[in-house]
Amino acid sequence: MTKDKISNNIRKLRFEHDEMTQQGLADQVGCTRQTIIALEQEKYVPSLGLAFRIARVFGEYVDDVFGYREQLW
Amino acid sequence: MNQAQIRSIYCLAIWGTVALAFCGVFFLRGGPEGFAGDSLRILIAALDFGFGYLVYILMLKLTRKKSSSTAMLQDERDHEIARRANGTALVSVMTFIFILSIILFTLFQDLGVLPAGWLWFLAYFTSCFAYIVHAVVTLFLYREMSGND
Repeated sequence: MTKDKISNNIRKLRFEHDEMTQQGLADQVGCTRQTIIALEQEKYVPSLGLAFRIARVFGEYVDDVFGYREQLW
Repeated sequence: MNQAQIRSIYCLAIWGTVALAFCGVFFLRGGPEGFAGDSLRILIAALDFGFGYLVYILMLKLTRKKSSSTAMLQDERDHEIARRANGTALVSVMTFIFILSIILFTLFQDLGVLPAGWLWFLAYFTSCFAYIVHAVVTLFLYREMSGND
């Protein structure tokens, strides 16, 4: 059995973009700051729409923001 | 803590209290066998639930956030948690009814009759159970799907 693991480098990208705040990013992508916190700590996997919006804010491709790896249970 | 978490904590307290009070009324003073014929206990149970719903509606009104606020109150994560909590609560309630029905059938199969009081218990307690399970699952999912600030 496999379990999908989605990682991301949102935190790193925020700091590379003029130390953007979590609230600032949340406002731009249309979600709450709590969701950005959950995403950064990999407690929540975003919808495809939210993933694309986050990537667009940073001017990156989704693949460059989010990583996927398959884990065996 | 957001609105959904605060409401879940209040919901747990309200319906937990209502369920405990109902169990007290139902199991004490004559037990389930005499419940259906005891109009005083039926009235107390009805008042218990009526009071519970009144406090619950009041709580929903008091914890309502103003829509004029510029900050976003809910997003896809909250909706995902609500969707999962609804699904889990529905399955839990159906399982609870199934198990209780089977237990009652097994206990009273030889007698051929089931005291009507148990049907009151099934109706009232299932309502409380649904609210309690929904609140517990919501709080659990927020704990699992939230990061540390």
